[in-house]
Amino acid sequence: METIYIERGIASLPQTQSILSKYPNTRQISIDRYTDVFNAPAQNFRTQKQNPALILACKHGNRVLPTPPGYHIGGENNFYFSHMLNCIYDCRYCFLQGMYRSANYVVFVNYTDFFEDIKNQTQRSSRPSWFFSGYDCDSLALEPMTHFIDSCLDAFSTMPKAMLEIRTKSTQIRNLLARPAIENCVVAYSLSPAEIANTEEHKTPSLPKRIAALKSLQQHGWKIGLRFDPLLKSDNFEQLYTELFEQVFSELHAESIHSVSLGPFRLPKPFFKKMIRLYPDSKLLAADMNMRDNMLSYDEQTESKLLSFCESQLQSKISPSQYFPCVSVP
Amino acid sequence: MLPTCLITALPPEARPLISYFGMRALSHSHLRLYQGDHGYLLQCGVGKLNAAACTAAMLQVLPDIAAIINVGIAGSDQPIGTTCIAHGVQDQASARQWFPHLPAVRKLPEVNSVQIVSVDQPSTNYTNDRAFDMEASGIYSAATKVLDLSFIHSVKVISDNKESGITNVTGKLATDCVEAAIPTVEKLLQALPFNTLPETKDVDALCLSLTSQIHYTTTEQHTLNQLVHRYKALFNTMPDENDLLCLGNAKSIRKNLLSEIDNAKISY
Ligand code: SF4
Repeated sequence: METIYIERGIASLPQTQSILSKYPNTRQISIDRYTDVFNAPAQNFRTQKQNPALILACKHGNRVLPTPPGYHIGGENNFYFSHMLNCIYDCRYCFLQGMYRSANYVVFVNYTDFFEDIKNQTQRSSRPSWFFSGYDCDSLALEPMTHFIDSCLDAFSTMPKAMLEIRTKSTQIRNLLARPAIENCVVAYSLSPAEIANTEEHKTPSLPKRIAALKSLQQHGWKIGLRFDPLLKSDNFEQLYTELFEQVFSELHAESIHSVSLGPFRLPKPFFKKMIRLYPDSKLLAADMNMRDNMLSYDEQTESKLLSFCESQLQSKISPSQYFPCVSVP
Repeated sequence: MLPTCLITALPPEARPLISYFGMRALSHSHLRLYQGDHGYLLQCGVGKLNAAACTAAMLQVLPDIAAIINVGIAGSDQPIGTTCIAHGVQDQASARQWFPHLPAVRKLPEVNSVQIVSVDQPSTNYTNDRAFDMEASGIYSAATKVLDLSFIHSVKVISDNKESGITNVTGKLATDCVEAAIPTVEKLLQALPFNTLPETKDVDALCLSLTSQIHYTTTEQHTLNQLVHRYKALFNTMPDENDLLCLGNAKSIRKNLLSEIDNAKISY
């Protein structure tokens, strides 16, 4: 991190000061609102991705939002929240590239406001509510800097009716291993075959490292989730995914996995168009796509082939109660 | 490095750059332009209106320009001769602002960043964290229509402050100041992230060649460009120009490329 923009309103918060203390030799620039920088026109996501700045900001309102229909793992009340916008990884299929003008990272430092909103939302129902973290970012990737998830777990440990899903590809699990697991939290890893991860998921931890992290978390008592998402087509798809499932289930204790889900590759059309402009050289984005429900995706036949193959493979590894099809972002 | 245009307001600021980069004057009816190996220099005159108008006209005349660096003098409560790079540019009259995406600190280690405020009349309200100039906001206002904020920068050298006011600024001082900023300009030129821009030369060349030989509407040209890009991404090679020309018309070429793309094998 070389340049940090700081909203004047949160400059003196302890969270802000704690983050700044980790980056002493940076340019620190005071701003009024993060949107002045983040939403400004004339930015190039691909160019900024080489050298992103950090923006420390306050999230006013809309902190906890209902998930899109179908985005759940069995719960009735489902919400998502993002303490951060953007991600240190660079997956070529990531919808954030199409959604935001800027690749700079925004961290909302008013953590307690998030927890307060989660508490209020939980109290509105007698049933458990699910809260998904990692919708507009990777939940754990910047944890050593933000400690957000650590504070989040403190808050969730006092709210047994609030269920938390931490979605990640990161192996920054030191804080999780340093504390006892809590019942109402699932740490869910997005997984792809090693060859796909190496080609399309730039800067992410390798598949073996993610599996090792899952294994450590499982051994430590954390509930874990597996998210095979997105399913990407390839001529050797069956071989790649067979190998992936073998690798994953040979290392993990299948019965105690909390949930497994599959996610087809889908992107809203405007995001897709922007991503092609940014990466005209991407094989993944150049492939044949179809428009369905205003989303770009593989044709129906290809998509159902991918899904049914994976479902049939998973049938022999997990029980139906562990399986939740199509939990997909966005 | 892709072509870059340095922009200064007045001849004393332009002269050291013209001389250092070995530039020669280009003949143009309205613009004062110079050309060298790295690109161009535009001398836009004083004030944001001149700056905006000349920048816009220059970008029209030289569409290959991929970056702009505004170099000049500014007033601030920092020592005379301090070189700064803008981390923000604000137009005082309208309060409009821009935030250039700066290169990494390690690429410009000795240069402080500062907020530049572009004023309509010279200002002496000096502070440490701002520098006054008269052109930057005009340049940003015009250049951001074409380029993105990673490729538009403003390098300023402090020419006046509380101790030595604006009346002491001479042409010689302006020249000395800009001369002192040349190492920073050089480093900035090297740090511009041109490597992140997709390589489009061969695709553009093929499309140009096809559209000059076969009738294409504007929409068809756009589609052709996209299809050739997709073909290149999938097959790691360009489609054969002669094969495409043999197809005779835009529609057949489109169908052919689409069919090849549909049948492309993707494996990891
Ligand atoms: S890890 Fe997730 S959020 Fe990060 S780039 Fe990849 S898809 Fe996007």
